[in-house]
Amino acid sequence: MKIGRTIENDYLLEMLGIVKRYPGVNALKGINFRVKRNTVHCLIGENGAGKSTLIKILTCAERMTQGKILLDNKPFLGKTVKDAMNAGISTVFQELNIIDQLTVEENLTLGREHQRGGILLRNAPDPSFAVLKEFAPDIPLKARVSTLSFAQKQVVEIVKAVSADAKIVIMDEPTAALSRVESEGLYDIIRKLKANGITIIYISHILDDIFSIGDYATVLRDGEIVGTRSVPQTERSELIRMMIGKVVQSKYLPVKGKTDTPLLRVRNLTTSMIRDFSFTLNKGEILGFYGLRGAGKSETARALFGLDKIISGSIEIENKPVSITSPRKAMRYGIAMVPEERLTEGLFMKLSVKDNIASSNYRGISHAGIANKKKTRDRVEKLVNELDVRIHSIEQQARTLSGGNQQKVVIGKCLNASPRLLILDEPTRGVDVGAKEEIYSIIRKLARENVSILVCSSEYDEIAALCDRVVLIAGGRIITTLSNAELDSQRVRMLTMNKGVMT
Amino acid sequence: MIELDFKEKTRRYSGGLKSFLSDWMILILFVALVTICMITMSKFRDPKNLFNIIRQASFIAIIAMGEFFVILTGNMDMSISAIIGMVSIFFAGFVVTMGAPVWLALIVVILMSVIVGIINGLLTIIGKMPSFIATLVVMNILRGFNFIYSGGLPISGLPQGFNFFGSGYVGVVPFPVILMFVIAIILYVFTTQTSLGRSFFAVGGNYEASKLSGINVRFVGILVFVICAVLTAIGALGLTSKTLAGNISLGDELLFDVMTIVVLGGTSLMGGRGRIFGVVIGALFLQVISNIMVLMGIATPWQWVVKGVILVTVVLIDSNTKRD
Ligand SMILES: Nc1ncnc2c1ncn2[C@@H]1O[C@H](COP(=O)(O)OP(=O)(O)OP(=O)(O)O)[C@@H](O)[C@H]1O
Ligand SMILES: [Mg+2]
Repeated sequence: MKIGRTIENDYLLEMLGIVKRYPGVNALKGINFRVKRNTVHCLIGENGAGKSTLIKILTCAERMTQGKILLDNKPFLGKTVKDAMNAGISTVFQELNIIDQLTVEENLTLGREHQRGGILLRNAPDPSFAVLKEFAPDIPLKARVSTLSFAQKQVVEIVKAVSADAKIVIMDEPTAALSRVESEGLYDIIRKLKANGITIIYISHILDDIFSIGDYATVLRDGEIVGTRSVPQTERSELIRMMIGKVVQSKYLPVKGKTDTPLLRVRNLTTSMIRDFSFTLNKGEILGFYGLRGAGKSETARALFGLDKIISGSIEIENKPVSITSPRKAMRYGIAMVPEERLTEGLFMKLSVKDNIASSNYRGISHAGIANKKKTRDRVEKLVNELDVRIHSIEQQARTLSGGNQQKVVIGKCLNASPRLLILDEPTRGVDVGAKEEIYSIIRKLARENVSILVCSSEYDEIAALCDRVVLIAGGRIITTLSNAELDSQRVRMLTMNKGVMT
Repeated sequence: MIELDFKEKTRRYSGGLKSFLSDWMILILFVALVTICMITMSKFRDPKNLFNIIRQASFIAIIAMGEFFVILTGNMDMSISAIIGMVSIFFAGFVVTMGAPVWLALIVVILMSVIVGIINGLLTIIGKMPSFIATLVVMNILRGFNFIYSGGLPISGLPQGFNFFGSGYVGVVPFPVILMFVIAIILYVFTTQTSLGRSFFAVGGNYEASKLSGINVRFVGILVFVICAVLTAIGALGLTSKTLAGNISLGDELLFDVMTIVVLGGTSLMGGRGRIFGVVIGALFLQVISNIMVLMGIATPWQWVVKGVILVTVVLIDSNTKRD
């Protein structure tokens, strides 16, 4: 041991020469990743760059092919997730890892219950309860998790991870499902953790996150490290260039295809979650729904796609009243939807990319009920290229794709159905900056081809870059509808937030 | 207005009437059925008949509590009927043919069941076979062994004293009933008050997430098969003691009843949800129905039909109401 080593160059974690090979892919090609004690170290890069893989190796959820890990200057030889937890590594994984059948309280303490000799101690206070109360007072401890929304589940997971007694807290895209306000709540939590001497590894595609809380950022690309920068001394554009090799900028470009002929007209739509929604969507128009989580965005999408029961109100498509009671019917009217929870609702995890995409439209590729293999393959390959899905073969199982690429497959699946009306619920959640731009241009292209688009998003920049008109909602009601020119981030935030709190 | 919405939501979280009904439906139905029978059927309300019902339900309830654990983790154990046959025939064989003391024979057959449970668990969890197939295979192999060992014939002549297990009384209460409640209470505490108990629900709810929460999912996954086999062995010993004879086909018709009981008791076939006392009530429920049919003189084949209809109904209700 060297004497006189200063805290400044003391690394809490060193991952050296990490190699991970999956059959057919080299996910990590010899990574040297060092994290300084008590910093927030961001890990960024394109979809499929290997970020989650690196994290899974550190948390022992995956075995590395080669390499070594030093924790506190000592080799870390853990084999199971439990070993990693015991070594003080706590993780929010990218995929939700929460148990629907248990209550919030049971989930928060799962695996580290307060007990004496195996017997649970009832009503034993857990530090996580206080964290939850502060972060999300609307989530009751006794609620069964299956009754929570996607974002609420994410909140529970975050709370669980940050309140474990850990040295390192890892978060893999924790804000992907959160609204702006909630993200800011998370930043506060992270600052508090840091003040308590904890080190944080933070993965995100949202640059605002990085610049709000990051000390360092390491950029990964194709399983290799591009470089590490001190965040306060780095420009946004430089990080983007490091990630994707070019600078992109989202700017609203009015779509040519936009017409004034309505395709969809909704009047006084009411379900158990939304009340009196009236709006129209023209052919070739991109209409946005913006609001906080729980405001009613997804619920509108679900009602239009026949997933939620419509209590009252009417829907007209091309001036003809329609009754949409099931997704099957919705699809018959030419509606397709990219759902919010892609893992459970959008993808067949065990099927190949090809079968996933083909599943939405067997008619177009079948003759007399038998799917034409060559046609299927051509069609899927075309979509995969258009969407730039990073895979090594279209036979790859959806399960093995990185999070962002899974999202692209779900979109591909919908496009394959050649819809008239495409509903996208958080279309670029977990998608990298470059791919996001690609998805936007695909959406714009569809609109030019006269497809009507409905985008639900809790990201202001997305709405502003994409939508011709935006419906602002809060607390299950429409507040107002603005055209793109009228959008103003301050005002929009005020409108959607205030109403949520007002009684 | 919005405030109100919020309260509505909170109420929904804590359950609400619908989930209360789906959780307790079986109990409500059970109480209703028993009340009606008590009022309308004089043979039914005879205390001797009532005690008989509980006594007959008790061993099958113990076996169903074993199957409950397997189903709770999202698997299924088809081998229980063969385990019953094995325990019955080998126990009688050890005691009657080989002259072993009862206590020793008890220990040996329980150990044999533990081994069968471990094999079931290893094939399913480590071997990654669907539990349905793995345990079906084990069932057939066991049946083979049972037959080879006994030549298919029953072995009678167990000592009179062993009769206590299945037919004895403590005071006025039949011993099997006491045994059932003691086991149920122990398992209730185990499932609701211990961290290991909670992990069964977690593993059944989401295997991957449980693993990432640091739960030893393989151990839990295998353990349920062992618990199932051991409880099945206890039930089998009770059933054997009633006739004082070992019989390889003792459990042949029980698998269906056990599955019905577990589902009647509100256990989700998808895993992750269920209650021990639900299983006890399920067992009593099914026994009451059998009893009514016997009292009304309905022939056995018709009883099978009725039980089948009950199972279908319950599973239909279950899969259409519990989806949150
Ligand atoms: N189980 C697996 N089998 C085969 N390949 C896999 C498996 N898991 C991941 N991969 C591949 O490893 C690469 C890295 O994936 P990883 O999930 O680490 O990406 P990521 O940087 O987290 O991306 P994202 O931002 O989209 O989440 C991808 O090419 C992915 O397809
Ligand atoms: Mg990832």
